Order: sequence, then structure tokens, then C-alpha cells
Amino acid sequence: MMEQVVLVNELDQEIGLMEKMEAHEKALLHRAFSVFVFNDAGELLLQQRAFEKYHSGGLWTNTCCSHPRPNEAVLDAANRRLVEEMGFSTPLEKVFDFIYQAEFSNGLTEHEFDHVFIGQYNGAIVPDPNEVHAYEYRTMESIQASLDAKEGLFTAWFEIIFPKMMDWWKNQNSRNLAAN
Amino acid sequence: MEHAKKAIVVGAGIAGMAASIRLAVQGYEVDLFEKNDYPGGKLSQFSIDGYLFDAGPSLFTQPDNLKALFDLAGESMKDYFQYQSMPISFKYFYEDGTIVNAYTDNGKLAAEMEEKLGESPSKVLDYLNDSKHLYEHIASIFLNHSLHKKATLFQSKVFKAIKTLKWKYLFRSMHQVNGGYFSNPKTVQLFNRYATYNGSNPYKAPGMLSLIPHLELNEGTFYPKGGMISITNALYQLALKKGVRFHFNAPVQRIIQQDRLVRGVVVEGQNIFANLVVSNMDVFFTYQKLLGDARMANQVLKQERSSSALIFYWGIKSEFPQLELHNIFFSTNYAAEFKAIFQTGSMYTDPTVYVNITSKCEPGLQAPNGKENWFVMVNCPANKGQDWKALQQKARAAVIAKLNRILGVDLESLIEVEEVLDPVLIESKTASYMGSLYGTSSNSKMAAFLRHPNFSKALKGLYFVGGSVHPGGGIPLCLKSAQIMGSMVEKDVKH
Repeated sequence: MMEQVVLVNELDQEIGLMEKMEAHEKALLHRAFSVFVFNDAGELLLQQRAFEKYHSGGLWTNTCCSHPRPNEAVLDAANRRLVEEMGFSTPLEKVFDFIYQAEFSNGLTEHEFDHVFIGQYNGAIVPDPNEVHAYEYRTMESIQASLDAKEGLFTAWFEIIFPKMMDWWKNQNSRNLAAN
Repeated sequence: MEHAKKAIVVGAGIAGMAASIRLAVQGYEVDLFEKNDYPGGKLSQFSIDGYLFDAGPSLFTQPDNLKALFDLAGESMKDYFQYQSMPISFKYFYEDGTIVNAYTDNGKLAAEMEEKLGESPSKVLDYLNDSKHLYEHIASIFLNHSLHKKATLFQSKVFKAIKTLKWKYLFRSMHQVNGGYFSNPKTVQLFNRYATYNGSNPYKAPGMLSLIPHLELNEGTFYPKGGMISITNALYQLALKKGVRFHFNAPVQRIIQQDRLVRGVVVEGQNIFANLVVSNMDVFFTYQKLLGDARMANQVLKQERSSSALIFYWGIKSEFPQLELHNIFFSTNYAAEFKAIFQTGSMYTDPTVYVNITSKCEPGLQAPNGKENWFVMVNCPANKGQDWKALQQKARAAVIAKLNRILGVDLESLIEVEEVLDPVLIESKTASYMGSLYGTSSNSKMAAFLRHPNFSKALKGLYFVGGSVHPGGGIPLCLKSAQIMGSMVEKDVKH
């Protein structure tokens, strides 16, 4: 299936459209988003990618991530993918964005302007088995411990974004502590 | 104008989903109501710190039963579901240090049993061949048809099958039949274990059950890519594709009936109408809760319940190269173990332990690198109000002591993640009366004829599928129950 991504500059201004695979081959900066959903206990909802996925099958990653379609607002895209992949919706809030570039062993390069959203949810989860094999809420500390122990559980992408989320998380907690 | 044919299925267990798919293929508009927020019933999954655990069934045989469903639906199974075959079905450990690999290659198995157990290879091959004959010529007829319709019983092939059935398989126990083949009590114990596949007692269940090894050792043992949950996921996706509407968190409260006809169900106080209702709930609860029929519910209880299980899900922070996907650590006194389970409703001090490790097949995905996800199960009695907390503690200590002895480790220090499932939880999660995994047991000669049929004699339009009804428990038989239901519906509608 041909899927187009939105090419952007460093200010997230649109400069064109390109077929997804081509953009990844040419390492061109494009718009993307990542969703991190937490429960009331402050645990992060992880998904294990379906074993049949063409890359990173069976590896664990954040709640969901993808690219917005042409003419689709990033928040709308994030809401759409959350429902499609995880089978639930919850209000999402943008917390930060950043640009990153990473080359993968398969010759493709991720070069994304990534919008990061958070949400809170405690209800039922019925994921699409085509996308998601399993899900689990884990504490940020236990995820950190797994990464430190090189347990090999996570996608390359998650290993890059997790430290940024951890920083945000720690700041958030210290702000909350100060406010109390 | 013709109205769409509507059907309602109660419960998204494996049989409920298979039933939905079959009805959808027959042109029904199917609504499936499930009290949990996930499909699969006992065939579900959870994860702790990256350790994946299949909650219930762990052994996959007869992939053709699944394939039949995909073929019927006009879909290619491999687009939904993949599996590999296992060269060793089980690895058996005895307290005296004997270790037996049950190869799925008959010749290798016979050689292994000669070397490790002193059995004559030709006896082993005879046994496997007789098991095959029992399955192919007799059991398959019982499993593919209702035993409760006169038309089935008068078919000539059924007459023929019963005529060729040797009396020993009906009138001698499985233990006696196995003892007739093998000289070593360890071999007899190994083949007696198959009675537990439908929660029965090999010292009581008929020799007929010696057909079970055929499925595993002749037809083969398989591992689904992604674990057992992939079976649930494949059926769920196939059902969605066929237009089945799933309603999760939607417990059915009542089945509506009028003039000996089924009219629909009540869900969350709302009437939902349909002339065809299929219950995948334990038949006891279907009568007791959904139909308010205490007399029929008690009728079901005339037969002994099948056993239940105590399951420990352990994340083990080490690897055990000497273990396989399926491992059995045998009790030193099997007779005492079954006596405890079925006669005193307790647990023997040295229970047989089953350890299933899916990270053997998918290391680093089913468990973190260098670690293993252990599904550790002991058979236990159905729930009659025992003190499960106490039984659980005792069993846990016995299991760990046994594994420490045989494997020469300190297991307690390696367990970093733990979850437990007992009969009370099994009942509450999957509406299985008394936590029995397979409905009623087969601990009687007539058990096969006494299981509840796949249809209601009293209410037209009501059908039953799943492990608590004909032909029995376990994934292959649950799928058969849906198949029998499907062909009955086809016939009933024509009349």
C-alpha cells in the first residue's frame, strides 16, 4: 500500500509529500508522532509489535507511533492511530517535539520531526492483533532497568526516545512535588 | 422482503469464536457477547516486565482443525497464523534420574524408550499404531458427530466402528490398557498422563483415552508463532473479517425463551432478539444463570467434574539448556496423586509438575534475553471450597523442592516475577463451574455418551459449544463442538 508522509523543514513547516519508503531511503525529514499513555499509577502503556511486522516484530515500544497523513492534523492522526492500534481513545496532550535521525541496519534512515503526546487511561484495551501482539503497563523505573540490563526487549526507536521521555517525566514529577 | 438471519453467541472462548465464524459463513448476522474485555477465554495472555505468559492451554496439536475453519471461510490460514512442528513433544524427568525425550518421530521414540526404559521397540510402535487406529476409525466418528441424534447412531459407519472396537478400550481403565503393553511402570506412567488432557483419572477413565497420544506423537506437536495467544488472535481476526460483531464487557444475563423457542438474550437489561443462540459458557452456568433451570443444572452435575489446575507463572532470570518447550517432572506415586485429586479433593505431597517454556522457541521475544518464561502447572481438584491459600502454599513449596532436586538448582532465588492462577480464579474469569478445565470428567465408561449434547432438547434454537459439552475439552475438541453445532444448525433450519 502506498502511503505518503509529509516532508517538513526544521520548523515543522510543510515542504512537500513523499512516498513513505522513499522518504526513509533518502533520509528526508518528515512529520511523525509518538503517543505515551500512562495509567493512574503512573505506569507507561507499552505495546509489543505483532510478530509478523516487516521490521522489529515482537519487540516492545511506546503506546503507539506513526506518521500523519497529508492534510491531517497531527493530534487527529495520533487519536486515530491510538484507536486503530490499541482499540481505545483518551484525550491526548502534546508535551514536546524534537528532531532525530537514526540509521537502521536495513539501510533505511529515520529522520523525523517528532511530536510527542501523552494521555491517561485505565480502561479496557482491545488491540488490533495485526499490529499489536501484547501490551503491558510498566513503571518508568522498571523499563529503565530492562534497558540498562540490555534485555533486548525494545525497538531501536524506543531506545532513542525513552531517555527524552524519562527527562520529561522526572521534570514533571519534580514540578508536581514542588507544587504540592 | 427477507429478513437477515440473526444469531447470538455467548462467550468469546475458542469455541464461541469458531461457532461465530461458522454461523457467519452460513449467512447469519452474528453478535457475540463476552463478559471480559478480551477474546479467547482460557486461551488468553498477559505480560509482566516483558515476560509473556499464555494463561491457559499450552499445547498445540491438530492444526488441521483450525485450517478447516479458514478453508470454510475462504481465507488462507497462513495469512493469519503460522506454526512450526516440534521434534520433541515432551521431555520427561523422573526422580531416579531417568530422562526420556518423547520424539514425534516414531522410530526415534521407540529407540529412546528401549534405551531409557527397556521397552521393546515393537511394543512402542504397536501402541502408537493402536492409538492411531482408535482415533481414526472410532474416535473421529464420535468427535465429528453428535452422539445424541438418532440419525448419527444409526449410520452404518458408526455401527461398524463400534463393532471393531475392542472391549478393553471400553471396559478396562486406561491404566490397565497401558499396563498391557509396557513392562516398565515409568512407561505406563508416561502414557497414563494423557488422561489429564481432559482432566480425567487414568485409573478410572476408559482405555479409549489411549487414542490421545496419537494426536501428539503421530500427528505431531506444534508451536504457534507468537505463542498460543496467536490462535486466539487468528480466530478473532477471522471472525471480524466475516463480519462478526464483538461486544466486550457485555455479560449475558439471561436467555429469553417463549413457547419452547429461544427468542434472544438480555444484556445490560436490554433485550436482544434472535432465534438462534449458541452458548460457549459452561453448560452448568448456562442452565443455572442464563436459563434459571436448576433441575437441568443439577443433571449436569451427576457426572464427576474434571480436574482443575494450579498455575504458577514465573519469570526466571536464568536459562536452562536441559529443558524443552514442554517438560514433565513425574510424581513418584501417580496413583496416590490421582486419588488425592479425585477422591479426597486435595493435593498429593509430591505432585507431577508441568513446565512450559515458550522462550525456548522464541528467545528474547517471549522473555527478556537470557531469561525464561515458565508456565508451571500442577493438576488439582475442582473447587469444593478448599482452603486454596493453604493448598497453594503447600503446592508451591512441593513444586520448588521437586524442581530443585531434579534440576539441582535453587529455583526460589531465580524467580523474579510471579503470578498465580487457582480454581477459584479460573471459575470467576472463565465461568467454568468449580474451576473445572474440561467440564465433566471422563472417569466413567459411558462418559463419552453422557456429556451434554451440542443442542438443547427442550428449547429449539439453543445450542452449546465449548469444553463443557460434547465432544470434550481442549482446543481440538472445542473446535469440533463448533463444527458439530454448525452442521446441526444447517440441518435444523432445512426442516
